[in-house]
Amino acid sequence: METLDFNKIARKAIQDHRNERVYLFRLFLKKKLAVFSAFVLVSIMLAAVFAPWVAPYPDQGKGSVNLEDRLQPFSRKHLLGTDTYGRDLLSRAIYGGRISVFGGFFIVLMAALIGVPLGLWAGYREGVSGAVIMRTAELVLSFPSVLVAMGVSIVVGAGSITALVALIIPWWPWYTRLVQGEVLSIKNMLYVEAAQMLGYGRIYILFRHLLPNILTPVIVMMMLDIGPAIIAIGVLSFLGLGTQAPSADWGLMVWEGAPNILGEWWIAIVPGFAMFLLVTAFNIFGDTLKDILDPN
Amino acid sequence: MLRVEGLEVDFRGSRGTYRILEGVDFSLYPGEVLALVGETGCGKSVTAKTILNLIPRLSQQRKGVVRFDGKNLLKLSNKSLGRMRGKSITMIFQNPQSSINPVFTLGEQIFRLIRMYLQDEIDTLCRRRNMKANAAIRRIARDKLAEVGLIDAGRLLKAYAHEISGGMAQRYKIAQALLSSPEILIADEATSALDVTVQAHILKLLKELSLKKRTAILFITHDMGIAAQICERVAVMYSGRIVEIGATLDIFQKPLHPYTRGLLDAVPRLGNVEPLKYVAGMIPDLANPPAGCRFHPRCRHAMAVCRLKKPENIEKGEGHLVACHMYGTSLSRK
Amino acid sequence: MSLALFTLKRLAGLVMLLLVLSMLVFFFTRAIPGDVAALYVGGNAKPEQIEMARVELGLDKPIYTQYLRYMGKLFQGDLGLSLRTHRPVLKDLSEKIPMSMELVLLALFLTSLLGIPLGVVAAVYQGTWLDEAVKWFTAAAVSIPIFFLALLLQLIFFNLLGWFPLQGRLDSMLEFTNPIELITGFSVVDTVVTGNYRALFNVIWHMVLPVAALTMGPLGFISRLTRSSLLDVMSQDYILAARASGVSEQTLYFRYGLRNALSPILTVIGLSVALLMLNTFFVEVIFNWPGIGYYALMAIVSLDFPALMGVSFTIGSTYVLANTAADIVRRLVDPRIQ
Repeated sequence: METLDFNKIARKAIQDHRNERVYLFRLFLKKKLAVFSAFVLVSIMLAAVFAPWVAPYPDQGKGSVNLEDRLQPFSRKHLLGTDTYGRDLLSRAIYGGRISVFGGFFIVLMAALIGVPLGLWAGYREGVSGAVIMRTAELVLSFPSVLVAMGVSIVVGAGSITALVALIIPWWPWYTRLVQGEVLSIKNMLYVEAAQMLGYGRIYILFRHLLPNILTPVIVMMMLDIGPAIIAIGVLSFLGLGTQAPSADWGLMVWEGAPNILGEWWIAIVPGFAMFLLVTAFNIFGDTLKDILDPN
Repeated sequence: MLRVEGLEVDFRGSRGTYRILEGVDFSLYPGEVLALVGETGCGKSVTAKTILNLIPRLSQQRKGVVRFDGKNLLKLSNKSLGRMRGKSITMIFQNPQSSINPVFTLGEQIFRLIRMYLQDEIDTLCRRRNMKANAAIRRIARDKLAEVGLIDAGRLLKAYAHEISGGMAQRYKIAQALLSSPEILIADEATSALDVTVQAHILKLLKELSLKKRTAILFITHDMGIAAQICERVAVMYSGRIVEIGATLDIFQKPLHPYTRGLLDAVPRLGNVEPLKYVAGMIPDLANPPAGCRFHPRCRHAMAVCRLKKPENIEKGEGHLVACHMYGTSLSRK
Repeated sequence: MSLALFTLKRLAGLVMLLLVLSMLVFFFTRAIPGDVAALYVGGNAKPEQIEMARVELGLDKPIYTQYLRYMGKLFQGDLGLSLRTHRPVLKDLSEKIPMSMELVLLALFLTSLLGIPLGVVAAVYQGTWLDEAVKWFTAAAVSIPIFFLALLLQLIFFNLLGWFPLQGRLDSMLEFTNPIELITGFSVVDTVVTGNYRALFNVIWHMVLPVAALTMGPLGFISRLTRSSLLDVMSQDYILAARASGVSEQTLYFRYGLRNALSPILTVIGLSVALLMLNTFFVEVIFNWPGIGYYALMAIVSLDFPALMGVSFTIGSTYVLANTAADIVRRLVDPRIQ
């Protein structure tokens, strides 16, 4: 009987892994809906970043008025019409997208940056510190998130930055809970015990072994959270607790356009639809990502 | 009683078509215990599940015949097959605890089966002993559980799946499977997840029940040793095909197929100081299987013809069949 | 642990949460910028009047004394007097809450009625165009912001098609000719009980758009959850074992599959109650429905502290209560939960 050629086997395994990545990417391309949503996302994000160059009337986007053109429907001069102050809606929508897109990313990123390390600690160390972290997280989770953010905004004073920071507060515990759960289930797996026995330090184990395994669910959660974050920002601005006039913000714009809904309906519908489109794109993209990365 | 002829199953996967089974042939006679032995991935589970059509139909192609009770099971509608499942042919699986529905009690689940299959017994008890239906069902459940060695029925019937041990769970599943006095019981790696001592008990139980109820058992396993313990005949499977089949004694004393020999050599023996032997190489990639005989890349005795033609089933002794060119009357013998 | 012990633990936690909630609500309202006394008295008030108002409202005492007074009254069920309507907040709430609950309960009912079967269909026909269609629809349903949806519904179904009324609970004419007697506060119940059928149909007609707006989000969510939960369950070993023992496909999906998949679905439905209560705020404002959301808006605008505290506490405790109830029901359904 022959010996097994381990080198050959190992080389083949590595090659299979590389092929797998290509394979996953191809799988993604196959889902037309996902590709389309990715396209929408990239376009909107690019428009947000390059707003001053993309928007036809950047000043109006930022808030300056143009009273002679008020309340215009779709026209060649103003593709998406104008609002009650004559401001071009297309420009306003693009500028409003900035808060939504960047704000959404910001909230989710910060919530993860706060929540994930806390969850790692609570899951790995357990003990008193871990228990304190988890109880706090559960406490925050027990209360309705939007109300909490609203409360903070009212107390501190409304504004876009305030709103963003205020939304992080009810958001981080989701990540702590997720990560803690994952760590608890992985912690007892053999390879972690093996590493501990071999004498590797705790921090090393934390980063080298635990982190990569929890990364996938965390990334999936982040992706799927961006949509709700954008809506939450919109909700706060709709109530006047977020971006203040005359800056452009989708939620604020819907509020401004609501009284005219029966007449000049586009003033409220354009920003609302923009929000809808962006969130849908994020959700579909996130869903597809989830299907690929985590099929269980 | 059950005859499988030329069973071929293809799966359409992401990398193309996998030919999982390429012509499985065997018979199962009434009341006998037949072992289906092979490595992981050789297709033994797929064979069993295909007989009962338990594999989701998505992207699956099947050819061949599974003859039972005068019908071809492969051609039956899911409804008709459904009636046969659990009644004439039943199956138990590797993980007994996860085979039990976790949100219902054990009692609820077995009562349901009793109501499904033993209506006559229930009626009889009601009439003769003047019992209410529920009491009758309960009584029957106790009896059936006692048959498999579960005597504390009271506690068990109220328990949930996560509250009992693996051994108890498997006995419970066996009781469920034999309720309707089926003609065939398929045991798919039924003891692989159990402790060795529990394994021995379960094997003994299966043998006894098989004799008592005259139920044939198709015992699927990867362990030759277990196969030898209770099975009268053994079928050795490799990569989608039965490569050798015969009486247990014949297979163990006079193994014909190189793969069978390899499997038997690999079993460690006490007192043997030689280094462990194993069959070199790996099981073939099902998307790109080797041409001709699928075992030829790993076979010491491979000949030119093995690369070209699939071996036929050749009879070498009573009921002892082997699929290998070494024994064949093929034309080229270089 | 047994169901009783579990329930007890959860109830203890509930009490604690309510306590924390009351503290948060109290300190939050005190922290709002703005002089309550001045607002209470109104514009053009002389400083002495403002001072008198301050004493009257107990705002001159130290803050922890105020809190204790508040807690004491809370236990007696006295939520104070609304600074705006000058009626007991409790009375105001008892009238307004049923109006909102009507919308919420109806939305919840529709969500379950439509959402769960939709999810089941998507799961059973997994991979087919039906499944894809459901995925599209639910992706959109979940992504649409509620205030936008409400406005959109008004635009399409009132302005464009004229099928449903723009706002309000009852046609203004009917407010005079067939007003609804206030018995329980639930319009449907009250009109049926008093035999006021004209008003009944009119109210239902007015409810369609608001309830539709409320239902959309949870509907999408529940559908997806049902689908994934059911698919998850159907891939389990015990389903395979049950299929092998002859259980019919229909029984498998509905009795075995759904029952096992129900646990997360029920939890989410419980949580949806609170989410819906928050969303009725927007729906009520846009559709002019006289419920607790509208009342809260008025309270915020007029800095009506007692009312604000009452509303916040009510909504907060409903949220906490709903969560706890959902936990308990989940334990009931799935004995494995700790």
